[in-house]
Parts: sequence; structure tokens; C-alpha cells
Amino acid sequence: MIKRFNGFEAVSGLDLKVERGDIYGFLGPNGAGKTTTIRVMIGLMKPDKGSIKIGGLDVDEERSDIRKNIGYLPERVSFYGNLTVSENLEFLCKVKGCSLGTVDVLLKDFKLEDQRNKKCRNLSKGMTQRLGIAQTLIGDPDLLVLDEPTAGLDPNVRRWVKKKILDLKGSGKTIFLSSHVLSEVQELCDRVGILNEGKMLAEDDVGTLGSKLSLKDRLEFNIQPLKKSLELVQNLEFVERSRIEGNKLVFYCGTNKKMDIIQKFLDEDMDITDFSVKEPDLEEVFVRLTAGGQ
Amino acid sequence: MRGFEKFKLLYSKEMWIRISSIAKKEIIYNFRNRWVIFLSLLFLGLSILVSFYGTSLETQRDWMGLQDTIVYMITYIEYMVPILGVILGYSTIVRECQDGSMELLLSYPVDRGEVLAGKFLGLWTVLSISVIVGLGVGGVIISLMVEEVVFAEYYLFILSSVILGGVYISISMMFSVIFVEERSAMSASVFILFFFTFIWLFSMYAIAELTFGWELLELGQPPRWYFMLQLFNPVMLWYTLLALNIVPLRDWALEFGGKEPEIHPYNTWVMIALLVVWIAVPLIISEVLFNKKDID
Repeated sequence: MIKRFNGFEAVSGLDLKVERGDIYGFLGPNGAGKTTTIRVMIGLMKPDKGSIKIGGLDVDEERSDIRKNIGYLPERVSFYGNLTVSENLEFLCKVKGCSLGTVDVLLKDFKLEDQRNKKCRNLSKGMTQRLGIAQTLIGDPDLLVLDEPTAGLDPNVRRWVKKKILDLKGSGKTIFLSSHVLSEVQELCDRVGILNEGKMLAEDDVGTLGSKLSLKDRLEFNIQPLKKSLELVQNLEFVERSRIEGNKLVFYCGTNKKMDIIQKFLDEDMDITDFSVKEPDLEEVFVRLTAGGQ
Repeated sequence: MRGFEKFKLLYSKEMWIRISSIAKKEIIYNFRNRWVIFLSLLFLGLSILVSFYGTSLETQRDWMGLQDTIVYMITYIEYMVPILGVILGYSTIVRECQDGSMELLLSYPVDRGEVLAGKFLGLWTVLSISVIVGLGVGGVIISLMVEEVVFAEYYLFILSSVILGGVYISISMMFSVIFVEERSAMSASVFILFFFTFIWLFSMYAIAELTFGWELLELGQPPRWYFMLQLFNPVMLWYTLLALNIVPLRDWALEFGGKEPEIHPYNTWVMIALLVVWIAVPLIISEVLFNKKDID
């Protein structure tokens, strides 16, 4: 599938397949083309080239039938601010041709009963996101398309959303989840596709891709003497991209080598006042993918 | 085959449920808009005030009949109904595209044409209720205060105002589809409003002066094409429709122009049909453009 905007190719020759019952993680930085791809999938935009089939039906030709079986959470979900929570859900139920009884069930399942009569413009970001996920289940669709479902949420709500996504997978839904957070995709997804500048860089099972890329942790040390510690790690072959950032020593290495390095610092009588380990992030994935020529 | 299937869809119950749901949503949403409430009350207040104080121009203060009230109110309604139409229509698509609610709605099994139809019907209902209640209640109060009451002309006045409002909703909805920013849609809608009320009038005078001359216009004898040209302005259509049917306005037109309004080549039904065309054409353009539009 190709999608252009004023000559700029936002999505370039994307080709992917999602298996029924999977959670497919669509990973990429902001501006990679994830949302554009999703909008083409939903039929909000037309592709310049290619087609998308969902459950064997062509999105362009059978749009209405396909949408009956899709629940979509936009990246920036927005409801009618002047209508209440239940009025919004009732409206969407009618548009999808569902019984209004669904509203009470969803409000209960998503713990929104207290918010029922609140106007949507007065909802918090977390509550709006809850309502956003709730509305995806109107009509009990088989496929859920969630665009950055945890973006901008506080940790508690983020945890709740992740649990809900896993519950939904447990109930047999197929979930297409877009995210720019690697750990989230690793935690939730069966398969992952990595998109950058409109192109698919890699696609595989989450575990396989992780080991294939041999992702490295990022280590940061408050250590003295700083220059000597840098020289030390630069001579270690399993250390990459070592540098000094501010008053910290920063480098990347494999998970199983962390203790070896700390031991070497201690052997050299270096003074470690603090250190932190960051799990591989998206930047690390891109470095691996581009450097490895994969 | 696809065309036939589309035709068959006209009978689809589901489609009408979707359209009516969208219309209902618009009605609830807009009746919570304080501007709509304010303008409804203004219609009511104006009809009563004009009926009582309108005659102050004739150095007496007493209730006028419904017919005379219409004549005095035309000047106000000519602006207020289009303003209400513009307020309702200009943001209806563009705002939802900007805030993201359109993206959510269109991910549901609803056709873009159905969205437009539902929105138009909902907004038109809001405008109709506002005008009918505002002018209608005013009319009832006036009719209780005067002896001679001719309701038929007042009904026509209200009905034609509702149709005129529909024209402006349709035009401003079209701008709401065309533009990607609310401000641009509003500017274009307001420009059209002023174009058909102010700019048009002066342009027509200029055309008259430059072609057949001012004298013929003063004598009420401009060439036929001049009247035909006026029909491209929905406000003029509305005015002509009223002039053809409301006696004091007709008399006033005669006094001013010296000619029967029948010099217009059309009758009441043709005027109504042309106003309906003014509603339909922008809606059709909106449907075509909205179907091509990427929602982002």
C-alpha cells in the first residue's frame, strides 16, 4: 500500500498480514506513518496504490460491512463535548445498529457508571480514554484497532489499559495496536511490525525479533574519574556507543555483561555514586536495524 | 449494478436510523448552544416589538396587524435567519474533523452522505423550531391584540424564512466541508451572507447604471434579464416570494416600482422550487467533496 500527501510518500509499499486472534504491534516513532496506515485501514483515507483486506473483504469496496466488525480507538479520541457519556454511547450504538442495552453493560465493565451523566468535555484524559476503549466494543467486533492507546496517560491508567487489552485478547479479539513504546509492544504483542519513514523495517514474532536484533541495554554511571572510566569501557569489545553526557558516562552493552563492567570499575578503584540501566528503546531498535542492514 | 444497489439503499431502514440518529444528536447538541437559544428569543422579542413599536415611524403607538408586522420584520429576518443558518452550519463538519470526533464517527458503518443528510436535517430542524417558536409565539400574541387577522400570509412568512435558513445552512455546510480550518469556513460563510445582502444590492445597481440606465430601474421597467439575474440570489428569491403573496408588501412594491410583482417571470411555486434548488446544490457539492476528503 502506498499513500502520498502532496507528493510526499507517507507510507511506501507497506505489506503486512495480521493473524486472527493475535495482538499485532505496529511500532514506530511519531511521524513514521502508523496513523496514516490505520486511517487507510479504516477507510478514512484512500490509498494511492494497493488495497487492504480485512476478513477477506476489500476496505474500499465493502467499507460499511467491514466497519460493523471493527472497533477503532483513534490516537486523539474525541467525543461530542456537549453530550453526556451515556448520550455519546447511545448515539454510537444507534449508528452501529446495536441495542441500547449495550450502553449499560459498557458503562459497568469500564467503571464509568459514575460518569454516565457527565458531559464529555468535562472528562479527564484517563476517563476519556476509558470511554474510547469502551466504544470500540460496541457491536462486539472481532477486530480492534487501537492507535497509541496509552499515550499521554498516567501510570495507573496506562496499567489499566494494558490489562484491558490483554483481557480483550483473552476473549478472542484480534488487536492491531500502534505504539511508539517498545516495552509496551513487547509486553502486549504476539507479533510486531516496525515502521520508519513509511517503510516496514522489520516484521516478526516479538521474541524472535528481540533476539535477532540482540538488543542492548543503555547504562548510565555517575562515576569518577570520568575520563578514565570512558577509556576503560572504550577498550571493551562488547561495549558500544560509549560517551560522556554531562557528568555521566553513557554506553550500551548486552544484558549479561552488566555485572562484568561494574566489576571492572571496582577493580580499578573507581568511585561509583549512582548508576541506572534502561531497557532497549526504540532508538536502540532503529540503530540495530539500520546498522545490521536487516 | 452498484448504482442500482445504491438506489436500493434508499429503502434501507438502517440507513434512515443512522440519519435520524445523527439528526437527533445535532438537535440535542445545538439546543445546548446558547447562541441558538438567544436567537430564538430574539425572534420572539422582535416580532412583538416590531408589531408594537414599528408604527412609531407613523407617529402612533399601537399594535399592527400581522401583515404589516411582516413588512417591517423583513429587514430584520433577512439578516437574522441567514446568521442563524451560518452559526449552525459553518462549523458542523470542519470542527468535528479538527477535534477528532469525525474520525471516530466515520470509523462506524455510516456513509459520508448519511452524515451530511443527518446533519442537515438536524440543523434545519433546530433552525425551524427556533424560527417557528420565535415568530409563531409572537404571531399568536399579536393576533390576540389586533382585530383583523390573516394567518395564511404569516404562515407563508414563517415557512419561507425557514426555507431561507435551510439555504444558508446548506451553503455554510458546504464551506465546512471545503475548508480545513474553522476560521476559514466561518469567513467564507459570513462573506456569502454579506454578498447576498449588501454587495449584491449595490452590484445590481451598478449593473443597471452601466447597462440600461438608472431611469428604467426607477420606473420599474428594467429588462427581463435583470429580474432573471436577481433569481441567482436566494434572499431576492425569498423577497420575491413574499412580494408575490403578502398584500402590504405587494402594495409597497407597486408604490415603489410602479409595476405588479408579476413582472417577475415566475410564480410562488417556482420561487419555492428555486429556493429548494439553492438548498440541494450546495448539499450535492458537499457530498461529492466530502467523499473525496481525507480525514486526518
